[in-house]
Amino acid sequence: MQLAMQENAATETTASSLEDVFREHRQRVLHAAFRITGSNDDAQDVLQTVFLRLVRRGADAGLSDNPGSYLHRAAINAALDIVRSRQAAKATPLEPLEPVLASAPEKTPDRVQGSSEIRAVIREALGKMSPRAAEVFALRYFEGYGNNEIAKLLGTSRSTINVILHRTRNKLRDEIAPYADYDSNPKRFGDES
Amino acid sequence: MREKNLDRILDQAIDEIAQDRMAPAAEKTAVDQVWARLSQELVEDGPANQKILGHEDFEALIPAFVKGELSGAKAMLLQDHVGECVPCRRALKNARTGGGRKPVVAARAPRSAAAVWGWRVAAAAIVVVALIGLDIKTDLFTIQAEGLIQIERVQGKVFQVTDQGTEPIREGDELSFDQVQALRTGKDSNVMFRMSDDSFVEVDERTELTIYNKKKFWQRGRGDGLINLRRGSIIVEASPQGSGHLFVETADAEITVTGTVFAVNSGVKGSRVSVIEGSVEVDHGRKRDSLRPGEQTTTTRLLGHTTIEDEISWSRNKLRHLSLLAEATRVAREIELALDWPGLRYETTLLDLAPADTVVYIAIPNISEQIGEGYEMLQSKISENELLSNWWTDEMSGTEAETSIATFMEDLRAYGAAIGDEVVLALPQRNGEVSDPVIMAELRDPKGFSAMVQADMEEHGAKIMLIEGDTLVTQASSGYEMVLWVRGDILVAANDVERLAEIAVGLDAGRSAFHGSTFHSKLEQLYSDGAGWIIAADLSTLIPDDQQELETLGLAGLQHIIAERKVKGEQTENRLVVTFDQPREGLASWLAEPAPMGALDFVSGNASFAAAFLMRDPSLVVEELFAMAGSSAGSFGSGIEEFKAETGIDLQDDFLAALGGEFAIAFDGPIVPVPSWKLILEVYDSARLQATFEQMVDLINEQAAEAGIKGLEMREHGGRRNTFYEITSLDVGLSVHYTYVDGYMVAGSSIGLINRALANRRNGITLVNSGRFQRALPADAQVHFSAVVYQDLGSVLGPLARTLGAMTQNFSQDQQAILGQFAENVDPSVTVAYGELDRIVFVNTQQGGILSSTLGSFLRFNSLVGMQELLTHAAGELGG
Repeated sequence: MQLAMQENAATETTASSLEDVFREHRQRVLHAAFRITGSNDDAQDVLQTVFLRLVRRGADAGLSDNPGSYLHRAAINAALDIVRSRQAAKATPLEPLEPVLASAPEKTPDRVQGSSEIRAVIREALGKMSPRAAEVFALRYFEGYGNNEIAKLLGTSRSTINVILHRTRNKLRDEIAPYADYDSNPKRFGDES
Repeated sequence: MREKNLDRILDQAIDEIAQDRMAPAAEKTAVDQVWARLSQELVEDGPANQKILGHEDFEALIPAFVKGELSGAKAMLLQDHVGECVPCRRALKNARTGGGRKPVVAARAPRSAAAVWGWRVAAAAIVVVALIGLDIKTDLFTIQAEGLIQIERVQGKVFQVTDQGTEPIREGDELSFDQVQALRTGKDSNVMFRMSDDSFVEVDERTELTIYNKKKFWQRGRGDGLINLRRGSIIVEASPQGSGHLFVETADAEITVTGTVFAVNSGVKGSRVSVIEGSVEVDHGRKRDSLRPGEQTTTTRLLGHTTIEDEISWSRNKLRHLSLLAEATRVAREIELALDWPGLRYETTLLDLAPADTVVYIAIPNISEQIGEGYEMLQSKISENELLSNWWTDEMSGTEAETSIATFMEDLRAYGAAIGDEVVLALPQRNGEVSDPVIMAELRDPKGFSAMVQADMEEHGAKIMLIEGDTLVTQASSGYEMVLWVRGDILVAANDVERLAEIAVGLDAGRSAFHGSTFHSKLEQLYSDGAGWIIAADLSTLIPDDQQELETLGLAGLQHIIAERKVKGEQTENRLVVTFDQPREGLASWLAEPAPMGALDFVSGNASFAAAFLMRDPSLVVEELFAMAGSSAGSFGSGIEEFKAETGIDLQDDFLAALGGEFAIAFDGPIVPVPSWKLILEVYDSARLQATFEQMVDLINEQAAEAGIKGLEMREHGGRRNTFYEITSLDVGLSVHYTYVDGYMVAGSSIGLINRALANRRNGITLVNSGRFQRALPADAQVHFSAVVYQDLGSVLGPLARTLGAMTQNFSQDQQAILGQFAENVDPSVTVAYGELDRIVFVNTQQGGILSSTLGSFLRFNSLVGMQELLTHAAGELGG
C-alpha cells in the first residue's frame, strides 16, 4: 500500500515536472520544427518525439542548466531527421504553399509561387547537407542565434561556425539559382540552361 | 550583379522561413494531441523508477523489442540508442538471429472514416432498404398547396393585381390566387413569401408572377405546385415535395424541382435558370437540361451565362446562403468521421438466387443504421450550432417536412434493422428489353419484418401482396403494385407472382441458372475481393450484335461494365472496370499497359492539375483515328504521301515515329496573369522532331507571306546544359517555349517555367513525390498506371482568391472568408487508369465523403464564382 502510494507520488511528480517543461517549451519546439519541415504534421511528430524521449529518460534528464537550448536543438535535429527521411522516401509536403499564399497578399501570385518553391528547395537542400552544417544553419538563420552562441552550444570555435555558414550559404545559392533567376526575371535563363 | 541578386533572394527566402508560423488552430491541435499522448505514456509506464537511464536498461529491453512487445515509445528510444551504441547493436543482432521472429500483429479492422455515396444515392438506398416503403409511404411528403401564399417580408412597393386593379401588399398578408391574378414588385422593391407547401420564394424588383391553385396543380399531376413567372427574377427554396413536384413556368421554359434552391430570371431575351442546391430539370424548346449545383442554362442563344453570385446578388439572403452552406459542410464532415460505416461483404447468398437472365446487378449495403445515427448526430450538432440552429428554427421547425423526415427516419431504422447486410436488385432481360427489377434481401427478423409490412399496409392501404412461407401461392397478382415473398430468412420482391416463381426454382435448388455464367463469375470475384456498392451490367447481352458504330470503334468486344465503391481505410475508392471478351482493340487499345511515367517528373508538387497517359503507338493511333473518321487505312497512307509531296514532311517518319508513347499536360504554377501550362512528350528522336518543327515553321511562314501576315518566328537559345527553343506568333504575340531533356520534350508558357521544371526534377520536388499526390493514390497491387489525372484546385485557387481578394477594394471580408474555406473543402484527388490485356480499370479515391460532398459542391462552386469575381475586380483595379 505504502509502496503504491510512493509510486503514485513519483508518477505525479514526473507528470507535474514534465507538464511544466512542456507548457514552457512546447511552442518553441513546435515552431522550430515547423520552420524546418514546413509541415504541420511533421512539426507535431517532432514535438511528440522530443517530449516522449524526455518522458522515457525522465523529465529532468539531459536538460542541464538550459532546458530551452537543449529542447531547441533536439527539435531542430529531429526536424532535420524528418526532412532527411522524407528524401529517402521521396515524398515532399506541400503545406508551405498555403500559409504563404494566404498571409502575403501584397505579393503577386507568380512571386508567391516562386518563393514557395525556393523555400521548399532550401528545406530539401538542408536535408542533403551534413547534419552539423544543417543544424548550424538552422540555428543561425531560422532561430536567430548568434555565431558565438552557436559555437558555445556546439562546443566549437566561432571561426568554425563562420566557415560552416559561409559554405552552406554558397551551396544553397547554387540550389536556388534556377528558381531565383525565374523569380527575378522570368525571361532570363538560369543555371539549367 | 547576379551573385548579389542570388544573395538577396536567398536572404528573403530564409527570412520567410524564419517567419513561418503554424496556424493557431493547427498548433492547438498538435499541442493537445501530443499532451494527451504524453499523459497516456506517463500513466501506462507509471513510476519514475521505470526510466531508462543507461546502457544496461536499454540492453534489457532488447528481448521484448525483438518479440514486438515493447511500447512504441520505448521501441523508439531503443532504436535511437542502438544507432549510437555498438554493444547494443550487436546484442540486438544476436537476439534477432538467435530466434524469435517478431510476431505479426493482427491488422486492426479498418474503421470507416469516409462515407459512402452521395446523399441522393443514399436516399435511394434508404427507399430500397426501408423496403418497398416506396409504395407504402407515398403520402408522407404530399403537399397541400392551396394556391395560398403568406407574405413574410416586403421592401418598397409590392402589389397584388386583381380584377379591381392593383392593391399594395403588406407583411403578414395572405394571398389566395383564386382572387389574385398576379403579384408584382416595383422599382427597388422586393418581397419574400412562403407557399402553403412551405416553399420559400424571394422576388426581385420589377417582377410579376402568379401561383396556380390546387385544382390546376392536379392537371399536372398529384400534389404539384406551379409558379408562373411572367417576368423578372426569383429565388426559390423549394421544400420537399414528397411524390409531387414544384414547377416554375416562364414564357419559354418549365423548371421541375423537388426540394432544392434555384434562381430563375426571365425577360424579353429568354430565361436563365441557375441551381444553387439540389437538382433541377429545365424543359425549353425541345431540350431538357438536368442541372446540378453551380450549373446554369439559358433558353436562347441571345442570353448569355453569368456567375451565380451575380444572378443572386440582389438577394437579401445571399451571404446567409453561403455562410450556412459553409457551416453545414463542416458539420457534415464531422458526422462523416464519427459514423462507423459497414465493412466489406465477402460472401452473399443473394447472387446465386438472381434470375438466370440477369443483365444488370446492383448490390447496396444496408446503411440504414448509419443514416439513422447520422440524422441523430445532425440534430445534436444543429442544436449546438447557433447559425444552423437558427436556420432549422426558421425553416424547418414545426413544418410538415420536419415531422415527415423524423417519421421517415424512424421507419428506416425499423425496416433496416430487420434486413440483412445488403439489398440486391437484379434486372433481367426479356424479349430484348431490360425488365423490372427483382429485389432480394436476407432478413434478420422475418417475423418482425412481415408484421411491419402488414401494419403499414393496413394503415396506408398500399396495394401490396405479402406471401409468407416456403410455398409460393400462385394466386393472381393483378391489381397489386408489388408482391413480397418472405421465405425463411429470404425476402424476394417483384411486380408479379410469375417472376417470383422463377426465383422459387433457384431457392429450391439452392442456386439459379444464373450461377456459372460469365457475368455471375465476375460478380462472384467482386465478393471474394470484398464488396461495397456494386453496379454491374452485362454489355455483351445488352448491346445488340449488329452495332456497326461499335465495330468501327473497335468496341464490339465489350463484355461487362462494373462500378464499385468501397471504403478502404481512410479512403473511399471508386472503381470502374470495363471488360472485353478478347484482347482490347480499336479505341480501347490506344491506352497502353501500365508502365513508369517519366513525364510526370517534370511536374512539380505545386501543380493544381495534371494529366498523363501512355499511348500504345502514336502512328497506329493516328491511322486508326483516320479510319474511324471514315477514311480507310489506304487513304490515310495516300493522304500522308500527298502531304509529303507538297511539303517535304513525312508525317509518319518525321513526326509520329519521333514520338514516344508518353504524354502529360499540367497547370503548374500561377494561373494569373498567364496560366502556367506545361506539355511533356516522350521523344525518341529529338533531332528529327526539331527538324520537322523547323520545316513546319518555314512552311507556315511561306503561306503567311502569301496571305500577307507575319507568321511565326523560331528562336534558339543555347545554354550550358540544354538548348531552348521559342516559337512566337508575330501576329498574335503568343509564344511557346520548349526544350529537349533526357528523351522528353518539355514545353511551357515561359522559359522560366521550363527552367523550374528541370530544377524541380533534379531536386526531386515532383508531383509524384509530393505528399498530397501520394496520399490520394489508390491502394492496390499495381506499381504503375496507364493514365493518371490529378487535381488539387483547392490548394491553389482558394489561397489565390484570398490573395486577390485582398488586392481589391470591392470584396467584403465576409465574402473573402467564405471563399477562404475553398481550400479546406476541396481535397486533392487522383484518378488512375490501368489498361490491361482485356480490360480497362479506372480507380478514383476520395478523402472526403458524401455528407459534405453535396453541400461542398455548392461551396466549391460558389468559391469559384467568387474567385472569378475577385479576378475581375483585381484585373480592373490593376489594369486601371
